[in-house]
Amino acid sequence: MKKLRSIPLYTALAGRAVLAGCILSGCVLLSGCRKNLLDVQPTNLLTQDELFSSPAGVTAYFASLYADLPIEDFGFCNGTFESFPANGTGYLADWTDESSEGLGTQAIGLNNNTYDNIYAGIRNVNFFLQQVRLVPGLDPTVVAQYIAEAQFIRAYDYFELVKFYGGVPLLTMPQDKPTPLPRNKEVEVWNQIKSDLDSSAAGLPATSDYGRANKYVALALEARAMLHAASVGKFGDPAVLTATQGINGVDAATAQTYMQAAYQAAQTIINAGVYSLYMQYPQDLSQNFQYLFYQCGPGQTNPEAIFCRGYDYAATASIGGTHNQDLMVLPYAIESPSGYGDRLQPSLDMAELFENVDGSPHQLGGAGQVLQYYHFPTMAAAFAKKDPRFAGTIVATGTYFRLDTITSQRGVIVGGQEIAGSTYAQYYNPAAKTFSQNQSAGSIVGTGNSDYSQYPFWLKKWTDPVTPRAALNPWTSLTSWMDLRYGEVLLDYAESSFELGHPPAEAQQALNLVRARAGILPIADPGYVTEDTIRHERLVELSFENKTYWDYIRWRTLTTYFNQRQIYACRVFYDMDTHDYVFYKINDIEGPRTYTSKQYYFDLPGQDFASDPLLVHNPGY
Amino acid sequence: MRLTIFFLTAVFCQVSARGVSQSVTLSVKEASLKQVFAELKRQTGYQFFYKDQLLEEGTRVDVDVSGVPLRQALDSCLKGQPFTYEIVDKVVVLRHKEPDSPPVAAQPPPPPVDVHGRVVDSLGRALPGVSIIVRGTTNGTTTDNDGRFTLHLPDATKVFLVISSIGYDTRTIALDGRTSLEVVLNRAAATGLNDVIVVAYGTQKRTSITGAVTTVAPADLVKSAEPDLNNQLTGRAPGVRVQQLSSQPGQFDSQIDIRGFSTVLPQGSNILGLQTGGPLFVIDGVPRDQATFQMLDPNEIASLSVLKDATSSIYGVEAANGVILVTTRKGANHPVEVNYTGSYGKQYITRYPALCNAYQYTQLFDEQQINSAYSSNAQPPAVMYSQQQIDEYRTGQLPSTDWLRAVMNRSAAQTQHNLNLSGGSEHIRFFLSGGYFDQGGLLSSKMEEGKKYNFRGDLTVEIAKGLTADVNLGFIDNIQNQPSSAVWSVVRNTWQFQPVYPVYANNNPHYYNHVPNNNNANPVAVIDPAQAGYNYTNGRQFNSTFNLTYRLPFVKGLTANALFAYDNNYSLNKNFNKSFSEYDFDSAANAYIADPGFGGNGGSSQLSESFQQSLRDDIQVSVNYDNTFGKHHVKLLGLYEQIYNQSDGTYAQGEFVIDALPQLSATNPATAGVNSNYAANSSSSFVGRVNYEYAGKYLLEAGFREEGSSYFPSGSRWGFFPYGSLGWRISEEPFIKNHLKFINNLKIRGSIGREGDDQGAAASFPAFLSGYSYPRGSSVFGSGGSYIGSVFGGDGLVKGVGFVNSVNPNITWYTSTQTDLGLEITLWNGKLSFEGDVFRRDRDGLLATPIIAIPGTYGENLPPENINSDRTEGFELVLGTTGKIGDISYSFSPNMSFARTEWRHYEQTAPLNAIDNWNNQLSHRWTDLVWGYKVVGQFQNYQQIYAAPSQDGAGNRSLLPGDYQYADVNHDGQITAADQTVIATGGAKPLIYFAANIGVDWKGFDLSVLFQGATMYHQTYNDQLSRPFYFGDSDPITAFYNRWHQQNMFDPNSPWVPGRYPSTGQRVNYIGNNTATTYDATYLRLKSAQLGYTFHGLTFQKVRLKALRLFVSGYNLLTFTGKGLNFVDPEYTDSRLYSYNYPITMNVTGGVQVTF
Repeated sequence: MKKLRSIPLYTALAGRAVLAGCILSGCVLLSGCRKNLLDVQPTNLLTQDELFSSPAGVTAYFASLYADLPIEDFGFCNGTFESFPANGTGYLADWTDESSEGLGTQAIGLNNNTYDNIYAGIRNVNFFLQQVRLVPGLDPTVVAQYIAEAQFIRAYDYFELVKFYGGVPLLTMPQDKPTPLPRNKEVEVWNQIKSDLDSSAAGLPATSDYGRANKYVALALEARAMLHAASVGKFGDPAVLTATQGINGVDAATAQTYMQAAYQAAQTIINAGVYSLYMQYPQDLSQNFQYLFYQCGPGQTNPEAIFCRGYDYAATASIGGTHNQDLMVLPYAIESPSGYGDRLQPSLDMAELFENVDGSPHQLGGAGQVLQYYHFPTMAAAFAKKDPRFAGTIVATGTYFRLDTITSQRGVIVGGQEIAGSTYAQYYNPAAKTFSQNQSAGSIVGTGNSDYSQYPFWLKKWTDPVTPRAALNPWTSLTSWMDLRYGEVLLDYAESSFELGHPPAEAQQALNLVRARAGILPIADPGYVTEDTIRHERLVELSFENKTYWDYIRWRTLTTYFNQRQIYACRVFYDMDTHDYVFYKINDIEGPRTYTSKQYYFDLPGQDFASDPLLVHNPGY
Repeated sequence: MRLTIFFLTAVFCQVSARGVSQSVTLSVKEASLKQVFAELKRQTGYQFFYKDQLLEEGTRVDVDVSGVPLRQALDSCLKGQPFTYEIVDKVVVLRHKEPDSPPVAAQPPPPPVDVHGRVVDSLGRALPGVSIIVRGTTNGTTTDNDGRFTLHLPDATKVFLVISSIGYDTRTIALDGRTSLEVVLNRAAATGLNDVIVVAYGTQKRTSITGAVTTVAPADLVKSAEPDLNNQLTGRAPGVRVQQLSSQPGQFDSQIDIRGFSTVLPQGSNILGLQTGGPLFVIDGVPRDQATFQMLDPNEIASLSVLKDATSSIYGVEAANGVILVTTRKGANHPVEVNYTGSYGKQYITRYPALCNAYQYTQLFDEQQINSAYSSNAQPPAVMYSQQQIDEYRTGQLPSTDWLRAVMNRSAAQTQHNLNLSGGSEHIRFFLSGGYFDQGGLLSSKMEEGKKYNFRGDLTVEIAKGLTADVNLGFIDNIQNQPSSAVWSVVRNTWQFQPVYPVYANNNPHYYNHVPNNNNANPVAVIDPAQAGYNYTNGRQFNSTFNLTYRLPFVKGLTANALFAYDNNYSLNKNFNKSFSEYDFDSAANAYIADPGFGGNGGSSQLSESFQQSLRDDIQVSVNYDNTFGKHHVKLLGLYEQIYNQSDGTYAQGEFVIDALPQLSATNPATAGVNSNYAANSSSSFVGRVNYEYAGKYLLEAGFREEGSSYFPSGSRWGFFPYGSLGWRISEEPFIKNHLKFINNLKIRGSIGREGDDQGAAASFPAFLSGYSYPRGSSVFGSGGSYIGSVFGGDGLVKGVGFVNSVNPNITWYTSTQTDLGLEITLWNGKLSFEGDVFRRDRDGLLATPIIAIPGTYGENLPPENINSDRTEGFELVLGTTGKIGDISYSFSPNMSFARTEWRHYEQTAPLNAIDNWNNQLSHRWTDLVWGYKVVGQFQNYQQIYAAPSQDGAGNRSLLPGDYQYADVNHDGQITAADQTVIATGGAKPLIYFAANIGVDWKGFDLSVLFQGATMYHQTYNDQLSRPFYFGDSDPITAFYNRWHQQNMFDPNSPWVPGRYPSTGQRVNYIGNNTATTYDATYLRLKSAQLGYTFHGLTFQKVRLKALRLFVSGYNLLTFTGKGLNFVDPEYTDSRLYSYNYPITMNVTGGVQVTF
């Protein structure tokens, strides 16, 4: 290669250029000695002053308080909030007889961190209550409203704790330093909840933004909480109350005041006339009941919705921002391309709880004996006469749901002999006597498109009837969770009225409002209003709303109702001889379920005994 | 000895001298005098008598004479040589010409000349720093970086140049009137003792080093065509542990650590297999990130050193895991020289699981159904595949699909080019380099690519006397394209496709088949960019370093230096996740029925884009002093350094209504999601160092760094990190130097020091600041734009705040105390050498959350504190031998390293009982223990099963012959979790790495071979590699076909046929780690091999090539593993990505290197 020519010239030119560069970098160097070099300011951390000085800041604070609220919504599985229910067990419905996917070997229990997490929420709300009074320049009426709303959140937190554990340490101020605390009496916690909700209802306006508390939200929660507390006192074992020195249980006298509080709270809401039962589709009451749980999102008008947790696209694919209900519960035939599905299937027991539309009890073919055949000309005929809420809550085999007829079929009966298929959507070839995936000449439908075993029911409540199934991925469901609704308030009212010994007509009126909206024959005579009819209405109306388990708890019927109790499934065959469908009841493979009385409370998490020596275990643990 | 031979030969020759002609015919070119004399002796019978050294002064001769007398032939040969001769009785005696012999004729003195030359090694590579001395004078020079020299001589005719360089054989060459020459120096038996190596903030002579420093020769970094510089270090530097995780193009999927100093997580690592901690990379004096290091073009590298011990303390708060120092090339004082290297090659999968064909699959599936029924005591079900179907798959009547092969080719191409220029004059020198690496991918859709462009320019200018400025600019552009779904998930899904289904509906390649009962998208469609989109990443790294050095004129040995570095890195990622349809073929209607909603985000095509940029500036001002006073040699360094890092990024995503235009602007605004991130940190440091050397034998180096880091609050921000080291060159003591001369070097050295690490506290906001993060949960970039709120009013989602009220106001770095003892021995001029080190590193103050009694009612957790501690210990050995047999010079250097870490304190809850203590406590335990059941053997029959302790909790009724029998470790008659014990060590990383480098040169050929391996290394694979039918009906790997099974599965009474694995089925026996499923992954690899041949002085037409070298090379050429592990590559990591790795490839390349 050529030698570099004119090297002196290049040297001079380049030398100057480099010298200039060096001087420049020297300047950078000097100016680069940043002032306070090591004090790097974070750009994503707000100070308390920045946060509390503006309404938007306080709203952001509340957004987190609500996000942390232990609402038992779609993600409350295996005792964990906001979990991904991948194996599909551990829904609250699985803890009762609502679902077929029973407990099996799975023990019920709460997540070990639930206790600490709720106390973290309580700390944040207590801290807010302490600090918000100190913010200079805030309008006192605004402050009062903030305080009322924060009290609602604190009451919600303590309601969960007392429901789970009984009496827990009561804190209304943030602790300065970690200090062990003894458990308070259960009534002390209930009293705190009552007092917080009373002042919350007094201090909050009648309306609020979606997802936030207003006066009626606080009252509806109060009705629910006080009904729970009163029931514990009324139906609970007084011996437990004595033995635990009040840490578990409520005395009868206090219970009476709680029942009164529940009644008054519910009555206030009813008398206000702000809310009414949803009646958007009077021509199709099943659809009406189904859409009650769908048209309750932000920006939608639903006169029945009192308090909801909304979900938003902007929080797509984040835990807590969205949920998985559709992915998990859709029948196999229409499951998402992401899989899952069939994870929450109602039991035959739950299906049978729905009365016939004429108010008569419904059981398969009447008596509903195990293994006894009942013939129906079509699959859908087996449940044709039921309460419209049945079809609004449950997808039964042979019914149309989301562009498809969903079926469960175990096989065929030929000459009285059951022949079971081996997987979904098989065809049976009578000539070859074989099941296959492909249809061939002369073959008939052999197994169901969504079940080939013994579960002919799927959940419809809370599912999104609009979003294409192909668009359902983990954490993409956006259906809002309606936590408090007017229907429940009416039932709270009926129950508290009845338990207070008011004339049964009062309860009858409330029950009939619910029954009328459902499209089922009203209770004609106040004399028919009993504790059982009220409870039955709750079990049907509020099924799969994560209320039933707590109803069994507060009625203290969990141990009596689940005492070697067999839950039932149902098999469907096509009878080739009679050309119709055979249904029969069969024991669910999970076997009988039994709860013991210690399970009226969960024990505190094991790790908390180590850190707080003043804690005591609940009885039986 | 030699004389004896001479006399013997002389006697013998005299006897046979008769009949030997006195006339000579000789025609040779470039022959050595020795060869010529041998030939003359053969022809004439005359003996030649001379000293061997004498001939070295001679030049090679070209002679063409025919039938001339001996004297005439001798005159021709010795023309111009510095010899004269005398013939005495048939013996030719050769001696020096008398220097004062009168000139042949009275000619005018020749004009002065400039002699230009270049010195290269046997491979044609430039040798810098070679001494060129005119014999008998002090006139001389040294070669520059490019091996060139220029001598100004009064006369070129009778000049002998003595050319010498450490590590090479010295040559004396008669200039013989030439004004330009190229000299090849052959490597001497190398001792390397006088090498100058790069250390922190300077250089040091190897003999003066007192720390554990390993260097890798740049030549070793270009021996194989591998885009990832980490992989080039494998086996080259003992103590540097490299694990190649995959060969995914553009991914740079490897891990590197020094002496096991990366952090080992207690309960496995995260699913991406990210290593925490790792060395500090200092490139051209500036800390730069690992990605920059990995992507460097090795052709740009001038030196690479690894600081393994406390001497790295000088880098302070980031140096606790060792330091890798790289300097890039600079220009030199010589005419412009151009180097080109290019290679082309193929990558072949080393070892990868294969999937069962339909015949094997249908058998295994039926067996699984039957066995599962047996083991649950149920009636055998109707099987899925009839014997007839199985037979038809065997005979091929029914087709079988190899889904894995449909997705992945066995090989892919790769291409590499580098062109660099260097040159300069005394005052200005430059280096320019451009490189390109194109790594093809294995996926059959050919959509993958990994393309890397490297540019570097360096300009050094002497602005004034003693004042030198240097500008170094580097640019790397890396492009990666991959499927929109991560490749590991594509692999996972592919294994779930049954071979009984075709890839295409009705085998029509326009319609991707929808496989029934399979939720996963057809993987062949997923890798098709036209169907499922793509994931494109373009990273650009711009590094600049400006250096100003002033040799102060008033104090000898004093220099001042200022450095400013500015780096700016960008990364753009565009993930177009497209939705597509699969098809069912309805044969009756002859129609394709679309099943939409595969791919995309829940059936909607989605685009997400992220743009991340980071900048770093580094300012260093330093003063150096280097002087010798008699026997005292002193070096001093004082330095101030400040570093500022900042990164920010944006992220946006949206879903499409019309997905024909993959642009964010075309997405549906209702589905938009945006996010951003920002982080900054800085540090400021004062550094001091002293080196003292007495008489070259007593060595001392000590230094410190006082550093403040912005990650910590002002009260605990500043740290003092001192170190000291001593060395004693025993070989310089008179009792060895004078008496045991074969000992060239014998040195013991030791170092101790303290480093810190602030990375554990690195977070998006400092861990000591309380407040409210906003928006909550959004600080992690690219996690899908998550923030949590509740939906309010008309404003939609309200972003919440995070409660950051649990802070540690005293949080600080952890400290790491390192000690190292080393021994270095060099014997017989490098014919044998040894270096050994033992080391220990104790870390204190690792961050952990204290487990103390914090009541849950307090409502928050404690912040992390500096409470955990661990210890890493190990040793390294390197042996070396070099030598020469005839024309063959060879070198052989094996090395090994061992490192292991234990927790000294691991903060965790107190054990509940003795079993819990035994199974779960981590303090004072090695971090690499693998727990599981010991397998005694496989049950041969039911008698053995029923006689054995119950291991299924049900009297072994669920077990079948062939199942593993576990050892009843606690002898309680049943196998429970308490019977788990430590079954292996090493975890996912080997405890011992070993390697051997072999080099052979013969004439123009050079061969370089590297064997590398690891042992004390175990792998337990997850998911579908752990057992057949991990997912219901997924296709097992072929290894599982070798299983226990009944001769006729449909006959319950047929005999069992043994196999390597238990019979298929969903049984408790398959669950849990055991010694049968934890494989010893010890391996030995022919890691790399290169064979080259160099031509010198070729001229093609008018272009004269200085050197032309052709080579073939290979990487991962051969792999040997121990018993049992034959279905995956031994470096295929177990816990990462649920055991679905992109394959590791063997690369075979051929190429050319040209210098002109």
